[in-house]
Amino acid sequence: MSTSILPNQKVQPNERGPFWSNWRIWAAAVALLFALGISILFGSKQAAQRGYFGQRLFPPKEAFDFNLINQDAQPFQLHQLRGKVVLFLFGFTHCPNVCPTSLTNLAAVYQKLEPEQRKQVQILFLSVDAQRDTPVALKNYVPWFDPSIIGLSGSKEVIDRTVQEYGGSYEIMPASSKDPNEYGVNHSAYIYLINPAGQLELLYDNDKLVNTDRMVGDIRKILTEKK
Amino acid sequence: MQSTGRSRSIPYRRLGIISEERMLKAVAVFGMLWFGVCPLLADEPNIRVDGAWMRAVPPSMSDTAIYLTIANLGKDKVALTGGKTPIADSVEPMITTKSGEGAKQELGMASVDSLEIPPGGKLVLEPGGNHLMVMGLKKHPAEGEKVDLTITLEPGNHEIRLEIPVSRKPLS
Repeated sequence: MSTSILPNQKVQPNERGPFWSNWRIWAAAVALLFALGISILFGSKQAAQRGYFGQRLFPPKEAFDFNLINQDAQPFQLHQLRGKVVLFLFGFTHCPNVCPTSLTNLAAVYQKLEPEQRKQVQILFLSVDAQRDTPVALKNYVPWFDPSIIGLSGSKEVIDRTVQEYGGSYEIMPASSKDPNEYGVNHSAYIYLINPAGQLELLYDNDKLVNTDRMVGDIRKILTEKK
Repeated sequence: MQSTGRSRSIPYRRLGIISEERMLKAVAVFGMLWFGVCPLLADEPNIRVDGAWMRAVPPSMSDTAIYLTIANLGKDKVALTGGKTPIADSVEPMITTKSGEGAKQELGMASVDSLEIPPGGKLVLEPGGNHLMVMGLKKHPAEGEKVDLTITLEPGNHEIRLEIPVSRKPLS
């Protein structure tokens, strides 16, 4: 190289070795791999979600076929609802805040569906308060939110098994010193969407229910896809 | 205060307008006024209540909930301590508790003495969250009816009377 103007100037020797010894190449390669990994990870997650608002269980899992008692004191099993979208939640009828909120929101979702679609949707409310929530207590409470909603109860053993199979949880709180029948119940408040094939497919945190349109969107999507 | 040689340097003595004794009296009177009047002034929390409503519930229920937003427009901390309504036995602040994770997370509620509202802040009581729990309903007002509610705030056990609508769902 003789681009130097000054005479006797030493041309700096080329210090670059073979291309793989350049750290920039390595940094770029690592970044590329990282980006690829991220996109694969999120891509597959998105594919499993398939645009659903609810958290999708992939693959959908067979929903536990409980054997409970409905608000008319008749035996009630999940498989009776095969072919329908079931929205299933836990609660208790003395619940003044969380349960009425969830039931009101679910009723709004149900009422927003077309009459034809409503025939293919069933909301189920299981009381985890075996002591106080008789079928009569449920009948006085659940249909008030929407006449279509079915209230369920059963023995403590059956309730416990059902809650456990659905991955929920509940706890009866200590009763008031004044009245042994006055107590609170802490309970998980997820809503389970069971598809017409009887599989648990979508999960909703109770906060999500307020978004009526997106809930309706999920139900319509399930109804069309599972035809 | 003992009169010493150094007190001569205090301006009011140098100006000779008032005696030390009168000054002490003035300080005492001012002090009494200060401590006597200030709590009275602080008695009026500077707040704004918005969107209050009571949840309509099935006739079988003896309890319900009231939801509202309180904005603290003042410079001092304010706390909502409870309330009362002629249609129920008691009105108490409640918080929604969460324990556990994910689908196993249990929601519950706990009674609290008060719900604090920091200066410039807001207290939002909304469905599913913190609320005023109405216990021992004597009647079940229908949707669209209005009920009297008096809320109590600290400092000063300050009461605010409201007339709130009864509704199945949040007021839009």
